[in-house]
Amino acid sequence: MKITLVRTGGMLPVTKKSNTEVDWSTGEMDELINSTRVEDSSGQMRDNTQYQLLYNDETFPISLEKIPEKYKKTFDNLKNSLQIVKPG
Amino acid sequence: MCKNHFSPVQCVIPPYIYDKLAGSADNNISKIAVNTKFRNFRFRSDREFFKNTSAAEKAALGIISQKVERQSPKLEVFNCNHLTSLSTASLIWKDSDTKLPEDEDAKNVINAGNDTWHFYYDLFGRNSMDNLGMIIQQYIHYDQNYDNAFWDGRRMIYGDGDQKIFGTFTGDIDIIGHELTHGVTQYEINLDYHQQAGALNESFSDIFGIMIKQRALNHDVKQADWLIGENVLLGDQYALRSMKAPGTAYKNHPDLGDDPQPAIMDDFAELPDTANGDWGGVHYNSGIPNYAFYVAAYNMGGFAWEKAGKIWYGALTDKANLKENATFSDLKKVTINIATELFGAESLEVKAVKDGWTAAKVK
Repeated sequence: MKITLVRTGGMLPVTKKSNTEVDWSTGEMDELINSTRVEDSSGQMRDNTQYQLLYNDETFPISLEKIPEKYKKTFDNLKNSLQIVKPG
Repeated sequence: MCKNHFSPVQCVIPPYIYDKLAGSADNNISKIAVNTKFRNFRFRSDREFFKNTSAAEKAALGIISQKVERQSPKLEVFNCNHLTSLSTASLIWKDSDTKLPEDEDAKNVINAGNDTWHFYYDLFGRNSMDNLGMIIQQYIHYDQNYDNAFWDGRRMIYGDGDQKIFGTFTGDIDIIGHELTHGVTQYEINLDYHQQAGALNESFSDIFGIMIKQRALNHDVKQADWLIGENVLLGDQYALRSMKAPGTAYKNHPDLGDDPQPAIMDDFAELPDTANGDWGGVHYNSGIPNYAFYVAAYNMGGFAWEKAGKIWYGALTDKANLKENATFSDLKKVTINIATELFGAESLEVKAVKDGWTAAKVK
């Protein structure tokens, strides 16, 4: 299945995306989403960036700090491959 | 003890004595006595007035309280060592250290942190973001190739940039002033980070960021470039934002396209109040109040911080009249009111503020 990592926000708000194919089961995806999911809220952070995971036509705001060890390498690669989505 | 030793009647003398002296046949003595009576009356009425004046009103009047002891900035710089954990960052410099560190980014944030602190203290008597002397903590080398800077509610965090599109985010004093001003806003009117209030939050940061740069460079409104982040966005022809002409900071950028900021209300960007929508376009629509400020400051002339900056600082600290969900129209009203209090209803400054908001087409 395809998963997409999206980064938004920032002082100059830009959207960045990268994707990859993974062979994780539905149970593993649920585990991943449940452990990394965060509130989609600006809080007191100003100019901060946010990450989202796109999977199965759904978007989940996530924290990369909370990625379980077994998925870390995949997300490190996704993060390092993020490309700016040119507006327009 | 009386300090007016040169004048025999301007010491600690009961009022009834002044009454007598005012009627003295000696013209010199009566003149001094009348003057003293007048001055004492003014002091008493001023004291009465200021007794019930809020901090915001004092700020609007440009009154800096007399400091018994001159304060100095408290700064700390931490190195994140390209990780994202702030708890493992190492303290590499504090204000009591005599030598500056070798690290260029550390030097940048120390210098800009000092300039920012002095801007607020020297001009408005404000001691740090909370006005209680909080330590300005700045974290550099955050993450790998991180192309952003942000205020996390307590401290500033800066990335090194990807070095392809973005350089280090410590490279512009206006960016550092911008982030620190988010702290000031949080401790004052604490504007929401959504919709128009969020755009005002961003605009205050841009406005004070640009004035901090202009003061450091000793640039008046005509000398200033009114560009935010011209070093951060790599390429000589690019900057992150233009306050003079929002929407022109970058054109045909190979990765970013065109600067999307509107300058006028007609072009207000309607975006969803989500992370994807920049919380209703807070970094887009800030172009509108930015432009209003630019026009107002330019029309007043001189140094932006002397008049326009004083008016906008009065607004930034006016908790009574600017609520957390304030709109552009609310800020328009407040800045006109403060300009009227400071300079008079018929003044050039009030006209300049009105002209600024008219130029931005804010009703």
